[in-house]
Amino acid sequence: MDTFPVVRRPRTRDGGSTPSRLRAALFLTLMSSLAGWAEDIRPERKADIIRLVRNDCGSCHGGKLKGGLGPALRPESLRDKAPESLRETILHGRAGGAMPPWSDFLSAEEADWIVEQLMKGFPNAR
Amino acid sequence: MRASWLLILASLLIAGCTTVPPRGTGDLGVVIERDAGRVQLVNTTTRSSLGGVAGLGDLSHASVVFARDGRYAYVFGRDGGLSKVDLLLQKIERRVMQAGNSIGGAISQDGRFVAAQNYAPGGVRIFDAATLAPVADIPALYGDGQLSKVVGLADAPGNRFVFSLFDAGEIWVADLADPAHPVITKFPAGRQPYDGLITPDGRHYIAGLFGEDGLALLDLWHPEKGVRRILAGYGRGEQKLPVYKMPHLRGWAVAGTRAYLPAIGRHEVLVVDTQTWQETGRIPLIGQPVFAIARPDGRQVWVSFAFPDNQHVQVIDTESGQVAQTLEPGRAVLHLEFTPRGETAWVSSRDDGKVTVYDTATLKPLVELPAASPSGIFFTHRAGRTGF
Repeated sequence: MDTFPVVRRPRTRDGGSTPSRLRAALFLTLMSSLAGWAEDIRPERKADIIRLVRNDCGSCHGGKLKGGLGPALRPESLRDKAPESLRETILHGRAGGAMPPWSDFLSAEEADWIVEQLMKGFPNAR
Repeated sequence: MRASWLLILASLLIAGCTTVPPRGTGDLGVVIERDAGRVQLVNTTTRSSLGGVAGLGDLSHASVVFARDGRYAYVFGRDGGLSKVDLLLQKIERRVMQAGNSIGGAISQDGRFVAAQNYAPGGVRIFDAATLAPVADIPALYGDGQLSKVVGLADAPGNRFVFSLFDAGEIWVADLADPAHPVITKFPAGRQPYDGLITPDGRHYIAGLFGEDGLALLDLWHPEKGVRRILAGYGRGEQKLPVYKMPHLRGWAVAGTRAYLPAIGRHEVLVVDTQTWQETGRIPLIGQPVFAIARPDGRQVWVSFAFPDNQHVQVIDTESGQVAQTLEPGRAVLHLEFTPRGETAWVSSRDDGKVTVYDTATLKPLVELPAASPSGIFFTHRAGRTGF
């Protein structure tokens, strides 16, 4: 319960089968994992992020993330969403909607980590 | 020897039957301890904790109304739990699960009915205040059979409930003359009403709109005139600042002949004349206001803030229309409540696990009470106020 996987940015979409597309995809994947490795999230920071999600995201999405004025963020409600688009929504908000941008408070790696946790069932604050 | 044993046994038995010395409840209140699913009972005369009642479920965004005798607190949990808590015996008298996702409630003018407003299933459910038996169900139907989330539920004179439909953009008035068959009147309100308030005299209902610059006003003395837009265009078309927590509206925003309303996406409160409903000014603040609550005498308005400015409380002097002082009660201030005549304000700080009691004349803290992730604070004098 208290062990967290190493941060991993979402895999780059491999849209084609030509060797050059594949090479580009592999290169991007490598770059992303390097970025993830470089900015690994420390356990104390993870605990802060968990509290932030439960409390502050929770004020619209519910403390149990079952939804409020904002939609539910449980694994079953996110199953069909692309992790990249969830990360973008976290970082930059939704134009014309109520979702505010969190990029002043969270890095892209941290947003990715949140998406990953949300998709498998978000941990509770300790 | 045997007699003394019997005596001890008898006194133990008597102690076991909960007896409470006769007392009133006018100086009692509850503090929501959200993560513990518990309310802490407090005494506002001695400024101390009296104990707690647990087992209330998910209390994130919980709210409370009081029976008119001030003895029972109805606690509305986020998970749809509705609990009737006896403040004197410090126990749950009754509890029902009434919905899947709930956001608060109200009690009728005559005290006979409790209404819960729900996100899922979207609508309002009405219960017998004595037994919590279901009385009526009002699904918030709109469009092609969708259910809207309900916000801003308030009681109104004439045993009516008024509430807003977030998704449908409507204000509904439910008349409980025949309690099992409420008569509903619907009004278009504007885009995304996020909360509502009724003025302390019970005449005007105001819904805040997230989706547009302005608020919707319904005069309950003249509902035939329909909903009127007030403070239209208060954002002056400027880019909204991000809103990290939705403001809360309630009749406490009215001080004298003015209402102090949190702007959406602006770091200010809007001041409006309650006779003409024209804007008379706006007061710049340090963050997005969430609660703007007038001291009962109307001389001050205390404001709490959304993340990331929620360590502050600003006190507005209503005479000068300026911020008199900025307080730092603790991390993550979620709510505040004045004692009935306003000599103290109680402020909850979730992340510092405490409630701070301020002297409202000196603006100095008097005492701190430990509490587990405290959020809402509710005192029993709400029992006698329309809109609470």
